[in-house]
Amino acid sequence: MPYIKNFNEKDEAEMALFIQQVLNGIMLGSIYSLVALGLTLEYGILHIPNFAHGALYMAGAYLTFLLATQIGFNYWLAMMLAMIALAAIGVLVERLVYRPLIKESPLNSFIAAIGLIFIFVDGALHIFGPDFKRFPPVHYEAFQVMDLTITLQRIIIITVTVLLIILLQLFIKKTTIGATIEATAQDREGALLMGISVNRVRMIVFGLGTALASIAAALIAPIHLVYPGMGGPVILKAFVIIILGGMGSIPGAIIGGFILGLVESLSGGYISTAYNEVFSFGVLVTVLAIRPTGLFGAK
Amino acid sequence: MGGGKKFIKIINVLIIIILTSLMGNLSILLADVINVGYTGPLSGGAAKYGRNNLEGLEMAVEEMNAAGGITVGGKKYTFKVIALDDRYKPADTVTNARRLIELHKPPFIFCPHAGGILGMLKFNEQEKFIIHGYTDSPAVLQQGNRLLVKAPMSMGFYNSGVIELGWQKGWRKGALLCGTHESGKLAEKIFEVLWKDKGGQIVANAPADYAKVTDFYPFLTKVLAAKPDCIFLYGPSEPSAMIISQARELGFKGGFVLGSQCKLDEMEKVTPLKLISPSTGVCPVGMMPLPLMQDYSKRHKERFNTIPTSESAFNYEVMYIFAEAMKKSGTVSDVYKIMEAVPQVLPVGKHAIRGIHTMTKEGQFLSGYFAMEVDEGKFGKPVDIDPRPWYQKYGATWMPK
Amino acid sequence: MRQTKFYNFISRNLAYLIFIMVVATIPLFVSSRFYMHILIMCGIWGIAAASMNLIMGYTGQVNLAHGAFLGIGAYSTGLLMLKLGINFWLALIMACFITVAIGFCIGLLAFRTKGSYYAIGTMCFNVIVTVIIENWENLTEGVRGLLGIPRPTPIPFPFGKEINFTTMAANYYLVFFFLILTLLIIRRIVNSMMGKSFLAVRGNEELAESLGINTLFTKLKSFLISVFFAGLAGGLYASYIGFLSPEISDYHVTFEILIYCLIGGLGTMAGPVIGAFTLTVISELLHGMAFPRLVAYGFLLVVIVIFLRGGIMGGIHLLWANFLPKGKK
Repeated sequence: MPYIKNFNEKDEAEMALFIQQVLNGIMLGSIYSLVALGLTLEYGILHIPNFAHGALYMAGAYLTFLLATQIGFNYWLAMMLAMIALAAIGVLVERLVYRPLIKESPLNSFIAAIGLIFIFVDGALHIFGPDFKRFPPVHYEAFQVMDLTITLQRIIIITVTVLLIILLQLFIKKTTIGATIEATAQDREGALLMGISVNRVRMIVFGLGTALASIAAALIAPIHLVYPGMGGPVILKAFVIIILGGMGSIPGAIIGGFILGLVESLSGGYISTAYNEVFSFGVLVTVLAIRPTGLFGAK
Repeated sequence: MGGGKKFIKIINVLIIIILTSLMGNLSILLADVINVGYTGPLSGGAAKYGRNNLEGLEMAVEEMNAAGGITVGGKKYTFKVIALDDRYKPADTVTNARRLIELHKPPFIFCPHAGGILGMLKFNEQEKFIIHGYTDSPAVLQQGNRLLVKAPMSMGFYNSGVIELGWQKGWRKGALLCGTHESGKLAEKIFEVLWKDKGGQIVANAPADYAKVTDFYPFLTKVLAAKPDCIFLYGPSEPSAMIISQARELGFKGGFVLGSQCKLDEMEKVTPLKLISPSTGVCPVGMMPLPLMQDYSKRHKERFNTIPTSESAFNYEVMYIFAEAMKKSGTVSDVYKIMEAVPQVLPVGKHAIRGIHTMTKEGQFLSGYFAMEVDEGKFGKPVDIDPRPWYQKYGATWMPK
Repeated sequence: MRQTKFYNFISRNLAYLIFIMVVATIPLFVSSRFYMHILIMCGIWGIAAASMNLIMGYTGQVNLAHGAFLGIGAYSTGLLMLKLGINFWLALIMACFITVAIGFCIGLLAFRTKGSYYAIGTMCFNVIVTVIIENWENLTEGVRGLLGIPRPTPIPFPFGKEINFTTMAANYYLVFFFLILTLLIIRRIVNSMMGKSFLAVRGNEELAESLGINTLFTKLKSFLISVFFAGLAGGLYASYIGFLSPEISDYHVTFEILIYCLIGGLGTMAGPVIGAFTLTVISELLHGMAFPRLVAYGFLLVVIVIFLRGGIMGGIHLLWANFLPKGKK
């Protein structure tokens, strides 16, 4: 009967559309989670938001791009090397900029971060030029399963994100350094009393945070473009995520990231893409109205 | 170190900064130099656009100086470009313009964004400088200002030719995926109005901030669900190219109608032509079948190592127009006389690379352009589009409601 | 006895009187329209910074939505003048109250959170406001921008004359009149009982609560007053520049104002104004350098913030303390 056949087809198409948008949301979510992870780690140890995280993310992207294109390293090797370099830069930033301001009001660190952003972004602009640079397509194979599409690069992003999350959890819960980090994050004075070198922990964690930013940038660059201002929109979303999930909470960053990804994808797909940001921030405001410290934040 | 000593250190640094910046301004004391001002975005998201504009201006000035300068009223003059960054903010444009007037007294100021141009239009007649406003916003022409010229034609004109080619290919159901910036929103309306005028349908609309969006999949999924024949794009070249390649990943086999901001030669560097096919767009300046333009592109590539665009080409030509107008009017300071001479010197001989041939009474320069198809991995032949029929039908200041 | 009172008044308000005298006489010496323009912009940003100083410096709340309110004030003024034909003076007052009304709604929601959450929450409000201004085209003209906002309506003067605002000097006096008014009002508030409650909340919120101060009310009051003057600054900007686009409410504007406050000296009366002035001038001077301007600016920010605690005012206080002869306070 023709009527019923049409109905099923339309239903199937709607279902496929919905699943594709959910899939898009998950892909988006893993990208966001990766960036938010580094940020939440940094907050956990510094107790102030590192506003320059986006600029460091951008630096990681450019470094990976340079190593992979100008010097011709293999993609994964370039990513590793850039990650190490960014970890070193992160340690320097912590030591030279955030450490002297440790006793001051967090506003001072905020202004210092803004200054760093100017230095990094304008510096990148003058060194590399304002053009959008395309990362050479690394894993561009696309898979079509039934009516759904996903590319290999995005599968890699999701996989690496999950791997990193698991590794991070193991690191913090199962190793001594991890326990040290957790102790210092929770109670600085107590840690000091126990003989833990708080300064060294700060440097390690901050370096870890920036390394994560670099990996995120290297993973995302092939599906987007590299340009000096790329850190701006990303850092804003990352902050929304860590507030949503609770600052300093790793599960919060992950869940927050996926929530944001899904909200953006589904609200854009079904309501309006122009008001994308309003929906994301609207969700944030709603969550904060109910739980002022985010979903998993400490009270 | 007491806090006081640190304070003194900082004062010292500030004094050094003040002195170095003052030294940069000593050149204004040379009498036979005509200063040309530029205020535009040289940092931030629009930096590339701002630089493209500046490149054309700089190249014209360098060439004129290399040729020994120009002779006006029996005296020789060379030019100097003074470029200031206004970060795309109108308030900063006004500050920069006032700074230029105060320190350098330029008879011309070039600016590539409507906000800045509108800000300067409030006092350019009083302070006596001519503005070249590089923008596709018709609003600047509606202020009744007598010292304004505008080279880019209305966006409606550029996009109508591109749409026409798309229509000829048999596309009827269009979807919009334009940028959310000022010109993107204008382009979206223009596409919609013109396409529907022809009898076409708009089946989906998913505007995106081309610079901020990380992943276009959600937008494309929404658009592709409506099964369009073609997708209208408008935004910077590289993100537009990304949208195309992601659309192909998602299985879209239809065409793209590329607005005037999308430059096919820049897009080709990001996404291979065979993925861009089939589409219609504006013929890149470097590929226009005009000998003068071909020559200019070569020189531009050698000098700046970047692809020449309409931004640089138009500003290059306008600078020569200004120079010729000064020669014709016999004055370098009476801007009203120079302005009167402008329409009389068009076209400017071998420097008329974009072919500006007339100026409307509001200050709009008329020139043509070429539209182009991209099919099966190759650029098609450029199609010449004459502006006069469009201007007779719609006028220089047409804006869709 | 009257003599002593007069003497006391002068010595307590010396700084302000000198400031007013300098401000009043500058247009007599400065004829360059460029410098006048810079001063006018400094004045407008000074009002914005002084108002942010109230909620941040004196009440200790890191409110990052300030740019949004500047934008709301600017757009309200512009729209009331353009679409409803209201004259500037009425439009300006109405705009300030509209800003306060919107601020009330946002403030109620925002103050449920504290600390870093409050900071980033307010920043998100800022972004929401910017996005709404960009997309609500029927009201605000969106990204096309609002153009042709007229200068303030001329004030009639006796004997058939009038004060009009086509000259730089007139606009200068207008802006600085409002700046001085803002500073005087804020100073009055800071020195009053309400101001003391602000400081109490800044010092230790829980302690203040336990002392019987309704901290939510206090924070809200401080927020609304600061937002009022942010709207005022916005309205002045709208009329002076004559053109508005959504970026005027962007969170980057908030950051700029924050930088003025902090570099000038948060929690001091003169700090924000000095910061606005100094940084505008520095930014202008950096134009002449060959070195990338923003890199130098960023470097300067980092250096000043690390080495000059308490901003410029903090530095001045230190200098003052260092140079006073020993044994005298």
